[in-house]
Amino acid sequence: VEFEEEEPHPQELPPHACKYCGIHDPAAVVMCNSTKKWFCNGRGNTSGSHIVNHLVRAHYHEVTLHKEGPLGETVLECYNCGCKNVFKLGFVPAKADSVVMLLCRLPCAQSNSLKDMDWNPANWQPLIVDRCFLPWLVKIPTDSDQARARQISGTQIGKLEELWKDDPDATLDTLQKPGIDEEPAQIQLRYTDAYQYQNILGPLVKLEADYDKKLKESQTQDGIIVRWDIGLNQKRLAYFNFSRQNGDMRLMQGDELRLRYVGRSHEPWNGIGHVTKVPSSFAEEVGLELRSNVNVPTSCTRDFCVDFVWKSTSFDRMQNALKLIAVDEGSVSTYLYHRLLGHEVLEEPAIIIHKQLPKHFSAPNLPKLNPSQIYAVKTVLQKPLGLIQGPPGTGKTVTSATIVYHLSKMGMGQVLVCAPSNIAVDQLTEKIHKTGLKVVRLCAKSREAIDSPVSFLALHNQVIQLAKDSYPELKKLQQLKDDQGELSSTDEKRYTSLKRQLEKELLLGADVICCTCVSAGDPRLAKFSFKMVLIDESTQATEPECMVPIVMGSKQVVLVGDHCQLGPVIMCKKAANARLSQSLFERLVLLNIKPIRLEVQYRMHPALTEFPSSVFYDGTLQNAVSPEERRMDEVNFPWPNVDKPMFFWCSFGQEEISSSGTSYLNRTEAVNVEKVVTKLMKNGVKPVQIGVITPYEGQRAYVVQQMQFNGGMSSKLYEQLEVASVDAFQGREKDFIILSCVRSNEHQGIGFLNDARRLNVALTRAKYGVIIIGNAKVLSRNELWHHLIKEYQEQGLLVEGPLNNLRRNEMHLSKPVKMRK
Amino acid sequence: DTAVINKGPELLKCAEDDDFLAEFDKMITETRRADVPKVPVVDIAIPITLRKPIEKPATTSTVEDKGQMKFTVLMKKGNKPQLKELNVPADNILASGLKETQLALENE
Ligand SMILES: [Zn+2]
Ligand SMILES: [Zn+2]
Ligand SMILES: [Zn+2]
Repeated sequence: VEFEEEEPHPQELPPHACKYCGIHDPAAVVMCNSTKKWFCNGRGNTSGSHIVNHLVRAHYHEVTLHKEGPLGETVLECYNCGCKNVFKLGFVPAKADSVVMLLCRLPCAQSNSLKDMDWNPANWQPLIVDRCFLPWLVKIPTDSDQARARQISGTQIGKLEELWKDDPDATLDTLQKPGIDEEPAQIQLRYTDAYQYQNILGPLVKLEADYDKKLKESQTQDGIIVRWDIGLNQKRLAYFNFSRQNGDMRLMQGDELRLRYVGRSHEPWNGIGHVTKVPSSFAEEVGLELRSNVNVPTSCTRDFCVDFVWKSTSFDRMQNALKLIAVDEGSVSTYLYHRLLGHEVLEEPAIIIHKQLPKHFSAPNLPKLNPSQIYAVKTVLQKPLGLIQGPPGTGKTVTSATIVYHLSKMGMGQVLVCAPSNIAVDQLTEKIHKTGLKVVRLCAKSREAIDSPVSFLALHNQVIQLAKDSYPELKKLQQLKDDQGELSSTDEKRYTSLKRQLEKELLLGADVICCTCVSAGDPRLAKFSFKMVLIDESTQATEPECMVPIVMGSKQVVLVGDHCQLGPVIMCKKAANARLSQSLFERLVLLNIKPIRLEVQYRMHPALTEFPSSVFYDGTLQNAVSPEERRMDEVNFPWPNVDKPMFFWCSFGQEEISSSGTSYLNRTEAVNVEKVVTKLMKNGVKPVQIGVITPYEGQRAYVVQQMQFNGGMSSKLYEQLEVASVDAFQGREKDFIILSCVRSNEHQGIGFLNDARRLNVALTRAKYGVIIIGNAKVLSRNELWHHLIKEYQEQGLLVEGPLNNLRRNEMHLSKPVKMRK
Repeated sequence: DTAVINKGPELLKCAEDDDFLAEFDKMITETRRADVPKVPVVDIAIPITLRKPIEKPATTSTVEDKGQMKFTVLMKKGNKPQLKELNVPADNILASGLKETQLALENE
């Protein structure tokens, strides 16, 4: 039995929340007896408090106080006659005691006999003053509570009251819900409140989730041939080819697939497993680790089917995060709340988050920081919300790890460290671990089998280690489970409870917890709160994704990324058009929160830095590497200029639609890619040092094929070379990069290459040299490409002809067409 | 917590709000109509337990410091009187009225 932990239910507003604005402080709300709806005693943007608004508009008069309020659950009524009309009621004090009672204005408070008793009816005071209930009977929510609540205008209140006449369960959302065919609301720069924020982002997350589900569930393939194996952990492994019919679809480690046997040599069988190996450039083979070893038809190899098992977990967690920020006051500090929503924070708060800044900014066992990195560390440590922009090769990870080190030493508790991708989390985890901090890397359950350089820091592995060292009972049960594949239900229960206990112990004992953004919503962290959060590669996460770690109680948030490189991938066009593809980092930059830029790059030959620096980074990039350090004298390659290891090789081949019909390829360019690769390898460059970037799946497949069958060297060598999309190379580097542009169409756009950020990433991956292969005439119609090609041409780096006899190209470049945004 | 300043909510005038104001005034006016049937008011006694000698309001001094006075609200649970405590601002007419009485008594 596999125990899947249940996800906690997203927090809902309690039933006594104000039906207008959501405020739910029991001391501040009143129930309308007729509608049984609760309303607060705040006026929001109207002339009367919400409860009074409701009573007046709906023509009701009777109310009940909340049971947790100062008077307990009480129906307000006249002490004498029992009249319950709150518009008539008021307090009458005793003459000589601190006692009051409620009496109706007429007739009871006017009764002559009252004067002869102990009461003082002359001091009768109405229950509703200034169109609010007396504030000392029903609390008026504070200004900041009201500012944080859902903002509802008098007009909306009017509409909502109208709606309730037909549908008492209608909510403000009903009012705002667009029709089915309508375009979703666009991402905004600022939001009035978290309810509006949730109402805009929530539907976009839903759109993306629906699209993802549809896409993945359409990936069923039959005729699968399986090769069986056994893993080191004794689990059953299945290997098979899962071809990429859809170029959009990326299989990831940890994805779930269902393998089904549909043949006749064995009874029907199906089993679910996690992907442990994904296809590479040259091999389509997928590795699947099955959950259960029981009854697997290992005698069969043919007649299998594969389905994708879609899970909503990630999307649910994003939705929950959007909800939390609206509903839970503890989710983020008041300051962050307003900054994140884009409010003008009237007064720059003199926030002293940490009493003392560290004396030395470099962290133990990490490279010494350069001045621009020190400045970044120092600045963000003092800010509740700090942004760091790390252009390519500027030591973003070291900077992030150093910040985490100092945050952890500030004594404000545990630090949560996230990034959208597992690779980025692993890299950062490794660096943080070096500083000597106690780090726990939390992995999704589905990824526990996947090996990484920081596997030993993974929670599940630390549990096993701890059990070995000091929990013999768990060790025994684990052994039993490994040997038999499963445990009796009593043993399984005991095993799970022991494991949870150890997990909790380890998580509580950590200085730093590292996980992906969505894993921050893991049930194992449900009870945790983190005042300090750092998100690396935050520009590659969608905003709701970034919110998952942020809403766990943060008071200080550091976002690291680079909005000039690729943003998050949004598959659903509708959601992308509504700009779900804009990261939180980008929106904060647009809100004039200035990111601190790291300016010293350690990767590229200085000549390779020039264009990206001037176009994307205001010319601020400085080189920490010299041309000499980036020169391979032993590599005899026909660079047009040896001091500038780059060129644009004009290639005028035609583009074609690929066989799948959904992609493009360009045979001439593929042939030229092979020639460059072969030339480099013949001169001693190893295949792993080379990366081939091409924006289209059709071209990727064709380049691979071209090298396999027509390459001038052993096909084994070409197999070690990586051919992939720009996106796959983000965050990584190679010694040499070859870029095949493909599009060569006189009349149509240049598609993928239109995105400036994509070009930036493609040009900044190489340490030693870049070779661009494309149709300069067509590409130069694009403003940005025009700029690039012109610069190459002026430096004599725009060339044509055979590789061993490259000649300068002096063509007149087409006039660029203004770029469409 | 790192306190941040926020402007409280501001009144946004709109036609619906004007309607609300008019409607509210109408409801209040109705409650002032004098032609309501008379209801006898029988002796409403303050429970004995609450009667304290009125020399000094010593029991209330702690809350009073914060500009509040502790009052007891006389309510009914079914037909039985019930008592609940409630803080009333010291400058409220209920509290100031009581203080005047106390002063008058002391002066006597
Ligand atoms: Zn309200
Ligand atoms: Zn009455
Ligand atoms: Zn605000």
